[in-house]
Amino acid sequence: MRIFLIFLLSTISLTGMKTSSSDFPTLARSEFVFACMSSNASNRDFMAKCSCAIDEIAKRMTYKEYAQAEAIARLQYGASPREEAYKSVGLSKERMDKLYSAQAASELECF
Amino acid sequence: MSILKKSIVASAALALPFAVSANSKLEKMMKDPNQWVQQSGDYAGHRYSELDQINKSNVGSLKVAWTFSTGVLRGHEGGPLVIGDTMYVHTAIPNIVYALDLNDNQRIIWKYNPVKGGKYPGGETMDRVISVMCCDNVNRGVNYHPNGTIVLHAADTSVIALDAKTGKEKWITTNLHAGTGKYGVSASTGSGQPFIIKDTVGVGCSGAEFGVRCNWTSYDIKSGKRLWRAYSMGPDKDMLVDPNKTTSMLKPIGKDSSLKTWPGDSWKIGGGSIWGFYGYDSKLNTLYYGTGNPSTWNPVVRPGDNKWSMTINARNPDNGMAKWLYQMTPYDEWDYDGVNEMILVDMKVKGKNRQALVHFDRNGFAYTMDRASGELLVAEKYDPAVNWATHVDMKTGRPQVVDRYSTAHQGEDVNTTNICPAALGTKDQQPAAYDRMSGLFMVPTNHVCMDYEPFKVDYVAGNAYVGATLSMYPAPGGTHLGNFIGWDADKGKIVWSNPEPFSVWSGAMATAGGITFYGTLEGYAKAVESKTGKELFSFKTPSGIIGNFMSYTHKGKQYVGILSGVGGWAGIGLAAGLTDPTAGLGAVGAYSALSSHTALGGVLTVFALP
Repeated sequence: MRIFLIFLLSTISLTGMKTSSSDFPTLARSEFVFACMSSNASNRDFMAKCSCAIDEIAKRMTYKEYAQAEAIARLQYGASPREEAYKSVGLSKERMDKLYSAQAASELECF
Repeated sequence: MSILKKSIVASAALALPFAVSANSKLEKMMKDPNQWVQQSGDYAGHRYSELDQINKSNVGSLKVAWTFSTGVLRGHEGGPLVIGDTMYVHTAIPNIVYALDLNDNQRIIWKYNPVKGGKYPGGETMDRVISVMCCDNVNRGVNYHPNGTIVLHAADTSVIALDAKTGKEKWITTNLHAGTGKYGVSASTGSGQPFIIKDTVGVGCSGAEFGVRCNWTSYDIKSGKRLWRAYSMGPDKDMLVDPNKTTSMLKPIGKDSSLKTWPGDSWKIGGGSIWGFYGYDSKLNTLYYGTGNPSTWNPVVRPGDNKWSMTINARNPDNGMAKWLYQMTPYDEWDYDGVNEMILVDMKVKGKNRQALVHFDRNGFAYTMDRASGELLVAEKYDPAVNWATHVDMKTGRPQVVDRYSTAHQGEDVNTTNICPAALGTKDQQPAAYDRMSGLFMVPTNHVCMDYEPFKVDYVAGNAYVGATLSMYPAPGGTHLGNFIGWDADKGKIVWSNPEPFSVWSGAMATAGGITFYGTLEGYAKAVESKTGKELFSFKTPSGIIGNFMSYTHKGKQYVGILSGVGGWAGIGLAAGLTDPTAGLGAVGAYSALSSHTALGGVLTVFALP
């Protein structure tokens, strides 16, 4: 038990060190972890994996870029002209490519 | 042509008699800045609040006062109303309406859902309506009549009058049936606001992608009885025009002005939808609205001007008769719907006092007209990227189309490239605001171009009738897809322009605090100085913003409200893709798991000073 606690604390402090170097608000990280756990499993194991993943993503892109990728992902639900404009070209492609490669890297690191 | 119409008069609620005419009572309420009683703030569509507690010196410290989750995903356009101490909030499909008690921590007084047992009042299933609904299931909001009625224009085109106090149905009538496939009314949907004038409520219709023939229909507010209907195209009597009295460019339009401009009877599926934000001038007793694109998107099959698609309509709201019409884009080849908002401003134009109408069209031109006579005063590009026409000929009112960007000139199955703007228009429905202090118009815009390839399609009732393949991208020379601009409608010039990474798809609101609010697709609620465009405030809401800002006071304090909500919840897509790329967006299992934790969906964020 004690060993586990120490492990947990060290994980937290390490995570803390990593986050200080990027501009992701805690709310954005929490939302990612929440969504990630919801779509995988709501347990301690995935809380760690998902937290690791968002920290890895945050190392590879700015929050501004992430927010843009998030907006594009949201728009890709629809099929109207508005959404069409954001599917595959220009900024959209750039942002999504960056997000996908950050996601791929985070998967290698964390899962 | 007879239109299949079914009226259901539910619970015969009694309308209270009132001494003052409803029109003047509603107009009086619009002048009270403590309330927000109409989607556009007022009949003139100014979207201007006289409140100045929140102003350019303190807006930077604005904080979230409270939030409200609508529980409905997808696009949340329009905005809430505030009548007295009650706020009315609507949602995307299924078009729920909530009444919130501002005196009691936004407690839900009543909640109304028009979909019962999976069906809308008109009898169509919600799934069928969604299948023919363009654009993220949006609805542009409810409106209020001073006899205590909230009116909802639901997605199946049902017009629903609700008791503002209890949420009980007073009457329901289905305007046009969605998805029934009846010739000429197939697949019409409702997304535009119901527009209250005097003791009537008028609605347009959506669905030009489905070969509908759209119209404006006016109903009696007390009974729901149909009063008149004016089609966007067809015989004179269907359009409610007088060949000798109705004018265009100051001249009578003459007999069969529409029929002559369509091959055969193709006007019967001619489109011309109406779903933007409208204007009304009580002194001139004139209603103003714009009509959308002609069907199909393939222009080759419908040579002619396709009147009166793409047209500003000025009509008498008592009987529907058209006073004047102005077609902005004759023979549309790009889907530049003319539905955008009509802003009525008394202003100097070229040194002369005018009762003006200002309209930022999808086609990239901003028009200033004399709203009494229909005279064209100014027509200038409000995005320098616009290239499909060189200019508008001020004598004829016709845009001078460039062959290189004419999809009809290039022909069927030819990909016409680098057309600006894209089909989204330089601006879509997202309404601009008029800043009464600086005299400038605050305009949310798109900065997107496209390739457009028309192809032949056969019309099948109730099915999409598009007939063009499009791809869109940022305008040349940049990577940003939008601008928020300050516009001088007299000179026809951009005064300032703020680039935005995405199209600005939210409605603007200017205030007497010298500031203007708008939102972005990333979800940022922003405030800028109206005179200069300088950014003073930015806050990230939970989703993208395509709703319209509004302001009101409660117990003497000013609040600013905005709906956010676009598409699905991105968090899930970004996160779900991690372990299973196929489980990305729209993962049903994940959503059901989430719904037990939190109310997802559109969120109303209300700001106030600390």
